[in-house]
Amino acid sequence: MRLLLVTGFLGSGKTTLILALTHAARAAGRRVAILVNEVGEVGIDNQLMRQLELDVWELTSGCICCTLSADLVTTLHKLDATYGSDLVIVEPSGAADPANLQRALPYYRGRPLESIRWATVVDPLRLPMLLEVLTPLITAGIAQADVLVISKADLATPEELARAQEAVRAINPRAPVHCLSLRNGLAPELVAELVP
Amino acid sequence: MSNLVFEPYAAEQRWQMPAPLPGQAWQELLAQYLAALTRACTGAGPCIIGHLKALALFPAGGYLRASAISAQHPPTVDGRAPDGLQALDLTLNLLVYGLPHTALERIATEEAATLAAQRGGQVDTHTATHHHPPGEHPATGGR
Repeated sequence: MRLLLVTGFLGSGKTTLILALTHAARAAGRRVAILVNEVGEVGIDNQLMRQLELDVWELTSGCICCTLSADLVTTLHKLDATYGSDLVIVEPSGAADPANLQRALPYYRGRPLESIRWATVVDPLRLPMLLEVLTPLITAGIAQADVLVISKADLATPEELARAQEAVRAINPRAPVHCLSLRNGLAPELVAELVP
Repeated sequence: MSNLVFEPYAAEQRWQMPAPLPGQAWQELLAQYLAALTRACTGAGPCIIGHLKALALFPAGGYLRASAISAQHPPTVDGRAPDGLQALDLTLNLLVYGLPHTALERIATEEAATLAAQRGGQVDTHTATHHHPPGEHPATGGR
């Protein structure tokens, strides 16, 4: 079982990326489970994924409180025991500190995970403002990523894209950076990096 | 900005129009609603719009989803509504730093009512119950 964590601030494009990745992985014959944690009393992303007939589990519905970590591990154990997934994609709320996930994973005691990949989606339209006012939250997500995805390339100006690339590389110089419009599909090399 | 309140607001809405609308009209209406919400939030006080989301699911399959992140960028809409719907059931999530739950509730209700009334329609809004005391979710981080 492989694990892919997809983080990023609210509205950055996480769900759109996950839908595209899931489509690609299923087309390749993978059994994909999606774990969604949404802030708010009524989830929207999980409703959409269910309507699209994807296999979705909701983590601690409606809240970003500290039970998320325990719920993640419990759900991973259930998936390991009963579902037989090849790939588990986790979408934490864009308002949550992604470090909570990292702290939780050592408590997972099921089949060894073949890989853990971390992708962070960055919105170039708002990155300068978010880095200014929500510094720790935004920086943490970028710093810990294995792969950085700068979304909304069709909406951003060339200057906004260049600024975003420069900013994320300054925070995390080791992760490859992909600039793309998620609505226009995924490049094969990005799919290969995230769902090998 | 580190002290900005963060109280997510969620609601279920039923938009009722005087006559059936083409699917494209519902898509435009939803985009107008989210644009109106971003303007109203921005005008209500210092805030950061995290994400405004709306979703309608249709029994025969398919969906209509709208998303907005700021007043400076137009909402995006994907999926499509079938033609001939007279009513639309919508789930709404407003994730905004800096505006309390009560302000978001007022904005969601008033902007929907105004937009529907311009077309002779009306909207019933049912706010989802908030499980936590107001102010429990402060903004994460910041300087």
